[in-house]
Amino acid sequence: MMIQPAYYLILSVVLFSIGILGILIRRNLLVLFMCIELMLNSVNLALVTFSRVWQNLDGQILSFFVITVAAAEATVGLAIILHVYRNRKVLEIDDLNSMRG
Amino acid sequence: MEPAFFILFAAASIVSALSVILQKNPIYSALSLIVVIAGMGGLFLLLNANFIAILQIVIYAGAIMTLFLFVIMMVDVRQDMSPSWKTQSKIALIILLLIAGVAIWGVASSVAYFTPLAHDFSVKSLARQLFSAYVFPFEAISILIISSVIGALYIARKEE
Repeated sequence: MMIQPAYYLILSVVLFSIGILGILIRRNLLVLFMCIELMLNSVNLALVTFSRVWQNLDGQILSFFVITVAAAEATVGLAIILHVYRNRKVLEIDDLNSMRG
Repeated sequence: MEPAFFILFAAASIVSALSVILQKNPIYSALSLIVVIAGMGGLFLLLNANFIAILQIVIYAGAIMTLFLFVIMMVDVRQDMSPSWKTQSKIALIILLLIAGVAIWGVASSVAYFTPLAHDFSVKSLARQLFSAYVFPFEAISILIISSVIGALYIARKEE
């Protein structure tokens, strides 16, 4: 059995869908954030697979930038979550409705 | 040998990803996410992306997830946090399954194959490309990181 690029891409689609599913069914800010990280990771997998298929390093460099931006995003996002928790004492997004959204 | 490792890493990733979204306690979600990330690191190794695999372990599993665990420990996670299945999310789930099905069908019918490596895929050539063609985005990323650190410190400070 040979491993084909399609297997990696299918795995990437599955992980991305699990991330979206988590965003749909969970109500906790922290878990929503983890689902976003999961989706970023699955996109990285697709990028690295394409980089290997076309034998071109651009995909790997793009996924390097994705990882770096994810780190910056996680820092600011977690600081915001901490701030929300200090002010409101809850992390359920259904209870964070002071703007009547 | 490669198929066995692929199946191992892929199965570990999918099972742990499901565990991320189904666990009630965010701590368990975070620990499952670490397993997903480690599995993806193994897949990157299988794809000859050594540098990205190392970054995945060091930055994602080492730095980002530690940050997550710290924040989880600072907040009260003993509230009721079970997944909620509303009608709205059931409709969205059906649409999601449709989209994922179409994507998998499209991907599965593609006819790309892995050919033996003809180009230099080493960390050295990656670094050479990063510091020649991509040097401007690289510097921009460093500005982004420093500003995000300052922003995070400002947002998370204690108010007097």
